[in-house]
Amino acid sequence: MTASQRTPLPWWSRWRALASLALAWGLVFVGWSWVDGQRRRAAEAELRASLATTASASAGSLSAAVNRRLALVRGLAAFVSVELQDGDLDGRFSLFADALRTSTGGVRNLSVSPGFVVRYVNPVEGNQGVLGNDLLADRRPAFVDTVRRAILTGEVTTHGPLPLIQGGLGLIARQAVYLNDESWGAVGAVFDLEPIMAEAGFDNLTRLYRVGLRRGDGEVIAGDATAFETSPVLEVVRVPDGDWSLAIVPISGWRPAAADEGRVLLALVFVALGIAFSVVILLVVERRAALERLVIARTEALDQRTAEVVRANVALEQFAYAAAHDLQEPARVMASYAQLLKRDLAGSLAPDQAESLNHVVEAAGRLRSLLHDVQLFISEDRAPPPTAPSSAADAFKVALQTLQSRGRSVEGVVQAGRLPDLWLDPRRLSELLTILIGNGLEFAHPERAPEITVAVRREADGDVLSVTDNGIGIDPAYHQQIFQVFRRLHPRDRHQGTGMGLAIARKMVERVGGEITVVSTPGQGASFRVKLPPAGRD
Amino acid sequence: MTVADTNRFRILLVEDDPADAGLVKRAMRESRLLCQVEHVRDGVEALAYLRQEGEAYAGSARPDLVLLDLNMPRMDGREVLRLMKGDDDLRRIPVVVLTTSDVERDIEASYGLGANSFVTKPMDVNDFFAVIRQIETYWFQVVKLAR
Repeated sequence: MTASQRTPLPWWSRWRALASLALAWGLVFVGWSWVDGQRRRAAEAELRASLATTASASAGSLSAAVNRRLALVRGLAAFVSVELQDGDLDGRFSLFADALRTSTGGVRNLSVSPGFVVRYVNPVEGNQGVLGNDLLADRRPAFVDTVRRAILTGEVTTHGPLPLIQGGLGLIARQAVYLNDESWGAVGAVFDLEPIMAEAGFDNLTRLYRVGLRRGDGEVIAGDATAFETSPVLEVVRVPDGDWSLAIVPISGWRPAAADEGRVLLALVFVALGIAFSVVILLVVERRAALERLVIARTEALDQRTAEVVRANVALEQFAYAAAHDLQEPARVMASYAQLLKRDLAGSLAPDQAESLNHVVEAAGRLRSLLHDVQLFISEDRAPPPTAPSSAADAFKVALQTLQSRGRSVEGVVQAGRLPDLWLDPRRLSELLTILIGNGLEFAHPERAPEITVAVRREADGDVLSVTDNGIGIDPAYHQQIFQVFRRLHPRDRHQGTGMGLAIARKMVERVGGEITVVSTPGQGASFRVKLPPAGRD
Repeated sequence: MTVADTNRFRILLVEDDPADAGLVKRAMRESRLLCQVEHVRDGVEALAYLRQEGEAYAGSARPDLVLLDLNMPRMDGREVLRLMKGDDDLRRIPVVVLTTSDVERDIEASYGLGANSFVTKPMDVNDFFAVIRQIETYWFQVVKLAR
């Protein structure tokens, strides 16, 4: 087991896996619901189309059955009109009506009503109750309206189906008869509804479907009234004087009718899909968890290393400070007392004794210089970056003063043109110039007077500070090495220095995002170029 | 200035290294200004001297100038400086921080705590003697002290 596998996962990582699974199954359920809904709607639409065809055929049959019977009323009206001209209505009605009534089924009676009072009825038997009935004084609802509509339109009007005086449910039809453009009276017929419905195949229809038939006024006249309440397929039955509505729905309703065996298969498909999703999610979660464990383990290791680096930096900082004070102090005291001893014993010391004391003083001085430079090099890691540009001209003056205080002759040797502000703080800038100019002075050519020029060239992406000398130059093989700590190219008895100056210079420059390079031809001189971030234009 | 006048000036040297203290004393002897130097070895002794605490310092004279090292055992120079500048009786005594350090952090901290000067001890003994002489000259001949 690796360290990453042993690292426990945070609680949110486990909850995220569970939430992903729940979301996946939720999506599967929603998908299944949507597809199943679409499938059911498609099945219902298909069933509706099928029922619409059936309803249309049935409505047509019903309309034909009704209209065939209403044609009898028109025939009776024509017969009466002819007989009124010169015929014998009394004598011929019975014979004509017999033939007319028996020509089709379901005709309860035929009647003739001169002056809108029933005088002739066929057959008489069973229909005596209607004789003498004044059609314009009948109190049954809408009865008189049908008669008056017949007088006004001259067309066949219908009334019902409604309960009849003779019993049963029937359809009453009327047509007015005119004599010399005056309304003479009316003919009428009563049809039993049941034979009409049978002829239209209504019985077969009700065995297969829930069927309802209602008049134009909304009154249900046949079948099941609830058929109109469950989103039926509706079809108009064309009947003179007011259409009827035919409603058809599956006996088990739309939903059960649409629910077929495909639903189980569909559910199985989606369950399989859900399982596949779950497997993929678990694989992804496990992979991610492994990565998270790895990241956590690496982060912990990194934190540990960072803490170690921080501790090391603190220790280094403490060392740098000790180098600045505690370590330099004994060196200085040692050198001071050696100098005092030499002075106190002046005249009584043998030459080699005096030289020994000189060596003590010189070594102590070198030790202090080394400690000073080491402190400067280390503390540069923690020195704050510059917050504003500073004057290179001022730093140049400070550098010359520092070099003079160290016994260097700079008058007429070091020159500078106009020096602008640069992106370095004053301490770094003066220290940098001290190091680079001091380097040029130290490595002057033995056969010519030293000349050192300090200049700044402004470029698009920053400023280039250059310190150019005419000294002994540097072999290209050492152009990189000279910036390393304690790197010296000459013996100490020929050239002074700790070997830290250029390393400190590079660290300072790189700390602010700059770069230091050297261009040199051995024997002709060297030019150190310091590229700095732009300090702004004045 | 007469010998009698200069004798009135007293310097309290706070320095844990006796060799370093010896250098300061010798520099002052050689300066011939005849200042009186009192030497204590750390911050605790310095405050006891200044506040005349304990048997050893019951009759100690108030110094005109304090030369203060920074890094010392028991109580360092920074703490001495903080306590002196927070004490109504001692805050007028000028304090010159005299140390080997030239670290910016020490320089800023010292002035922040109220040091009157910060002097880094030079490497060369002749330069060192010159610096001590300049300190004496400045504080006892150039500057007017509150007595």
